[in-house]
Amino acid sequence: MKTTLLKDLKALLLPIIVYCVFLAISFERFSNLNGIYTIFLQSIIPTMTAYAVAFGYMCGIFDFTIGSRIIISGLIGGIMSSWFGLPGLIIGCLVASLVLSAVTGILNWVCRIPSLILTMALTMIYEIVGKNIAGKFSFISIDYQHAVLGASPYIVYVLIFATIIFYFLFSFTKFSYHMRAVGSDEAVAKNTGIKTQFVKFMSFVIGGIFIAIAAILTISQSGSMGAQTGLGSATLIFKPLMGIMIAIVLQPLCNITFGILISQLTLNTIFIGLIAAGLPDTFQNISLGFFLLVVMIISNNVGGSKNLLTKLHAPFVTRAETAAAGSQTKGE
Amino acid sequence: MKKVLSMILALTLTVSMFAGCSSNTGTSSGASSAPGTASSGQAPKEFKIGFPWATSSTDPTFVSIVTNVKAAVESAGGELVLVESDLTADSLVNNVSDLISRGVNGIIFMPASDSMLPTVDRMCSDAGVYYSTMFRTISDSTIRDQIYSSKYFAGGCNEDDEECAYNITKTLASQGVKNLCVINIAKGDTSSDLRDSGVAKGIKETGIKLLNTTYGITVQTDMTKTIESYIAAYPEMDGILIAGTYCPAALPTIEKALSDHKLAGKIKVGRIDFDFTMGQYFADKSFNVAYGGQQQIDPLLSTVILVNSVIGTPIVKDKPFNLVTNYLELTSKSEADDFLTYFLGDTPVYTSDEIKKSLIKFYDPSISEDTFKKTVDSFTVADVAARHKDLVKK
Repeated sequence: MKTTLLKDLKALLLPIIVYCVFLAISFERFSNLNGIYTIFLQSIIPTMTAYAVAFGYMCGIFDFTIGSRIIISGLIGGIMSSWFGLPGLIIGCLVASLVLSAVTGILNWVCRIPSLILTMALTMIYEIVGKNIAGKFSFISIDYQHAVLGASPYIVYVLIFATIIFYFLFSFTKFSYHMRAVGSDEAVAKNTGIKTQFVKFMSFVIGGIFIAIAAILTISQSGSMGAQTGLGSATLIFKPLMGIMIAIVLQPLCNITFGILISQLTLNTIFIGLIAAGLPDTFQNISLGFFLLVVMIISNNVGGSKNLLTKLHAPFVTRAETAAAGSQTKGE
Repeated sequence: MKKVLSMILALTLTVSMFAGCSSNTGTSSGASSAPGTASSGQAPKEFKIGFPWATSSTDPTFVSIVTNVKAAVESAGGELVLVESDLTADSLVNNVSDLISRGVNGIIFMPASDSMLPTVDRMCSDAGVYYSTMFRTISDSTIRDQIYSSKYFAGGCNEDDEECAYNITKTLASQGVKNLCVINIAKGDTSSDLRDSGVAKGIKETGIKLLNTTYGITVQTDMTKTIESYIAAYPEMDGILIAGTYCPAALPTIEKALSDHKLAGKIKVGRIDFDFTMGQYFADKSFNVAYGGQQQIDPLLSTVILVNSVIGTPIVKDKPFNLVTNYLELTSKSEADDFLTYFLGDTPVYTSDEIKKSLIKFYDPSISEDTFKKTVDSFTVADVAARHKDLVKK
C-alpha cells in the first residue's frame, strides 16, 4: 500500500514539475490558486473522453467516432432536457450514447474491416446525423439551470464517480483482462478461447458510458452543443489520446485510471502556462507536440537512457573509487 | 458569247456571295461591340455557374450565402451548380476541375490561399471558363499581377478586414476596454492576418494592452478552455474580441464561460462576423458590438460581377472588376433582430428581380462601376428591412 502510494506520488510529480517550470517563467500570473483550480476543472472533460477512448485503444481499436458520438449524445440530451430537465439531459445522453456505441460495435463485428476505416466512415455519417438533429442553427442550447453538472462542485463529484467506475471496470473485471489480451495479440487471445469480437463489441458499449458522461459535462459546461462536419468532431479525441499515451508511459508508476487524470492535468498546465506566459497559440501546439515526443522518446528508450546515464556516471565513480583507494593506501 | 455571259453571271454571283458574307460579318461585329444587350426584351443565352461550398452545413450564415449566390445567378436566367467542398485549397482545386468537366460557364469560390489561384487560373483559362472570387483579396503581389492580367478572372468582392478590425478595436476602447484578449481564425488565412494587423493598429492608437491571441478554435470545449484560461491567467482582462472563428455556437459558449465566473456584462465582448445569437446578449448587455453583414452582400455581388462577364456584358471592359464591400456595425438588439429576419431568412438581401433591374448590364447598359459602389454604400440592415418588409414573414 505504502509503495503504491509512493509510486502514485512520483507520477504526480510530472504535472508539479511542469507547473513549477511555468511558475518560474511567469510567477505573477501563475501563482494564484484560481489558476490551479482552473487547470483541475479543465482536465475533467478530456479525462472522461480519454476513459472512453481507453477501452477501444486497449483492445486495438482506433475509434474516430467518439467525438461525433459525444456530439449526438449531447444534442439528444439537450433536446430531452427541454422536456424533462436535468433527468432528461442525463437519460438522453446515456441512451443516445449506448445506442450509438452498440451500433458502432455491431458494425465493427459484422463488417470485419479495419476499425480505422469503419469508424472514419461512420464519423462522417454520425456528423450528418448530428447536423440534422442540431437543426437550422447547427447547435442546441440548454437552460443554465439544467447545466449544473458542468460547474463546480458538481463536476468534481461526477469525476470522482466516473473515476471509481473506470478504476473498477479497468482493474478488477474479467472483461478488462480479456480486452488487454485482445489488444496484445488477437490471434493468441482467440486461441485461448476469448470471444474476441464480443470483447471488442463490449469495449464500444462500456466506452459509451464515459462518452455519455463526457457529453453531459460538455453541454453543461458550454451551455450548448454544436454540430461538426468534415471530420471536425475528430478534434475532440486528439488531446485525450495524447493523455492515454502519457498514461501508458506512467503505468509502471500508477494505475492507468490516475495516469490519465495526471496526464490531462499536465497537458492543461502546459496550455494555461503558455497562455499565462503570453505566448502565441502556434507555440502552444509546438510545445504540446514537443512534450509528447519527449515523453514517448524517454519511455521507449528507458533501457538505453539508463545505460547512457551509467556510462556517463562511470568515469566519475571510477575516479572517486581510485582516489578513495589512494587515500586509503596513504593512510596505511 | 454564251461563255462570256455565263462567266459574268458566275462572277456576279460570286461577288454577291462575298458581299453577303461581308454584310453578315459587319452585323456580327456590330453585335460584339455591345454583346448581349437586350434591345427588344431578349434574354441572355443559357449559362451555368459553379459554386464549391460547404453545402452540407446547416449554419444559417452558410445557407444564406447559397441563397444569395443563387439569386444572383437566377437574375439573368442562369443555373447554379453546387458542389460540396471543405473549402481547403486542395479541395477547391479539385472542385474547380470537377465543375469544368460538368460544363459550367463560370465559377465563383472563396480562395483558401493566394497560392491556389495560379492553378485555378490555368485550369479556367484552358477551359475558357470565367471565375470570380469572394471574401478574399490577393495579398501576394506577384500572384495578384498574374491573376489580374488573366482574361478569365472577372473580379469579385472583398472586405477591408484590417480596417474593420481596427474600427472594432477602437469601438471597444471607447467602451472602456483597456486589457484585451483576442480569438482569431487560424494563422495563414488572409482574413485572419489582416484582422490581426488591424487589431495591432487599433491597439497602438488607443493604448489598449493586448494580453493574448488564440487562433484556430474549432470546438466548443477548446473555446471554454481558452476563455477560462484567460480568466485565470489575466484577472485584469476587461475585453474579449472574437476577430474570427469557425467554432459552432462560439458566442453562447463564451457567454456561458463568463456567466459561470460571474463576469458576464463585466467583460466587454465584441465580434467580427455577425452571429445569430447576438440579439439575446445585446439585450442582456453582455455583448457589446458586432461588425459584419458582409457575408451576404459579398457573395451576391461577386456572383453578379461574374454573371455579367459570363453573359458578355462585363462591368469593366478588359480587366477584372474588384469591389470592396463595407462591414456593418450593430450595437443593439433591434438591429440584431432585423439582421436575423432579413439577412438569414429565405429571402436574399437583393432579390433576383432587384438584381435584374439594377445590377445586370445586359438589361441596362448604363450600369457601371459607380452603380455597384452606390449599392455598397447604401447597403445597411435598415435598407434591407425597408425593401423587404412586405416580402419577409417575421
